[in-house]
Amino acid sequence: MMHRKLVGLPLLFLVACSVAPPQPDDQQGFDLEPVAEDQPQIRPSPETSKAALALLAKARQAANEGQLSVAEAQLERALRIEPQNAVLWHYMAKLRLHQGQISQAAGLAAKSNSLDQGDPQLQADNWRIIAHARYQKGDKAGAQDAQRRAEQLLE
Amino acid sequence: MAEQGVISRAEANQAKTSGLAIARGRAGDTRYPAFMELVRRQLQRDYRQEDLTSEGLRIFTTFDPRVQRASEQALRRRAQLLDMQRGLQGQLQGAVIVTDTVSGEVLAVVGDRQPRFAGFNRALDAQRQIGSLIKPAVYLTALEQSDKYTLATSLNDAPIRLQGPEGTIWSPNNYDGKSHGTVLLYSALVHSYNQATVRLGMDLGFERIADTLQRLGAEREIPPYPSMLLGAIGFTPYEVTGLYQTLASGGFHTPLRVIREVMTVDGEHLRRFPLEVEQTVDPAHVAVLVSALHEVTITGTARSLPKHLPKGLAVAGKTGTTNDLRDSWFAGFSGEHLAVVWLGRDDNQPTGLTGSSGALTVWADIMNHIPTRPLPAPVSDKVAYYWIDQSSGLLSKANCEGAINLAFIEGTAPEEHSACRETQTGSGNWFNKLFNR
Repeated sequence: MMHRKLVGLPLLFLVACSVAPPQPDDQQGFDLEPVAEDQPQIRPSPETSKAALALLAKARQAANEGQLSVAEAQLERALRIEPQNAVLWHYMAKLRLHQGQISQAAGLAAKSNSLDQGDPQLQADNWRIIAHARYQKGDKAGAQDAQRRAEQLLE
Repeated sequence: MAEQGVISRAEANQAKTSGLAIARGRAGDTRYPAFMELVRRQLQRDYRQEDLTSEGLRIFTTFDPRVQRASEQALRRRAQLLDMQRGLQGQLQGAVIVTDTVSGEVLAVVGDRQPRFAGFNRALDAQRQIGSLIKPAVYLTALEQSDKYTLATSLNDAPIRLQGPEGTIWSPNNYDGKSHGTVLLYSALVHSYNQATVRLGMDLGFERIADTLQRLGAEREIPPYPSMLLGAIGFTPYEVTGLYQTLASGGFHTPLRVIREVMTVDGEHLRRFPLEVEQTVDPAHVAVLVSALHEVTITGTARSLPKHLPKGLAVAGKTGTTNDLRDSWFAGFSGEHLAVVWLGRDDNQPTGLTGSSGALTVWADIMNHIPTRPLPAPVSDKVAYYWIDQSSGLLSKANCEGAINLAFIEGTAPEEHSACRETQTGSGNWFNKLFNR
């Protein structure tokens, strides 16, 4: 499973774990600690609006129930509210990856990177998705380049 | 209502006992024929005719009634006014398309100045020369070679003679009839100089420019003639919207969508039409281009725009005018909405309107009547903003006379400073306010 190793995240948990909404009983904000993952998780920034967070919660629930197209619709709604939110674009990329639409995932990951303002973990995860898509397309050199960029970001 | 005396008790009782029913129009009847036509065409690509006419599908579209209403009213009012002013005897027609810059969702389509009239849908089917609307593609092609071209590169705006396809001589003029000598690249775009653009385009080569147009989303073949560099090529308003969508979304080609989802009558999800994005232009190069397209709306051919718009609403756009004033275009975007407006006559006779005296006024009315967000500050770490002296192209400062704020790929900005004559007012604009430079 070359690709999976390359992406470095268990695909099955991508959406379920990373689209983590704030805890409903936590009025102060959101729990930034990863739930049950040893991988660092990308979290919505504290500036994310309540409306977008509520939609993210719905998206996560739908994804957990296997209703990926419902999750997709909720994420699109969240993006309409916060189109410049790099984390939302990243979740969308992960969802596409989960749906098996690898090249779409890469486009969304690139969009996320074009909006990010300096979160190396987010950018690295996006580059991993791009690397994954390039491998799938048979662009080995491009994939290695993307993978290298991901690693450099986390050094 | 009966308590308030609006209707009688008897009428109220009768209303209570009669059942609720949905008023049905004739099949095909709609208040929004131009928008519905687009929906129908997208469905026809994916469904058989009999599935569409029999009962059984619920179709969720991207229609935004508020944006549609603003677009219809703006086109109707302005067309009426301009028609009267120019003595066009009701011949002036027009089309509008408005989309969401992020998702590519089509929010409004107007195909006739009488929007209820389900005739020729100019938004989708009027293939008209686009004139200077093509220029951003020419300049983007240059800016992509950032080691060779920046917004401060000098271009030659001198007369030029070229051989056309059948041996004819073609020598384009500038709109004001003058040649401007050496001009900065940004200025040639912002003031839409034809001679500088043709010279630049000839240096770049048709193939490169055609490739840029295709990456922006053009599907039709681009003829390799010099006049193509000035937009002597027919596109529909819908196609133009597709090209500018890629610029408005920062270099990501986003197919225009008019349907979100199709369901059965029982609520079963049949098909979703999801958001799709593909990076086809480096976002940093688009950011540089957009900084110049913003300047178009401050000091360029669309400088009349700010007085029509809410204060602080930063937008970017381009005017388009074709030979003998036959077509009047404006394509532009805020941070949330892209709108493309075309005005002209169906018989292709002159209207006396430029892009800025015609289509721009419709565009401004639309943007003024819908809540929208200003252009976002680009975040690419490859791009930086500098104050540049308008005439010399050298570095300047915010409070110097003639200073404008332009974007450069990091490491390509001019290094030398120009002499500064301080001004009281300062050249405050969008970037200035954002970055306090």
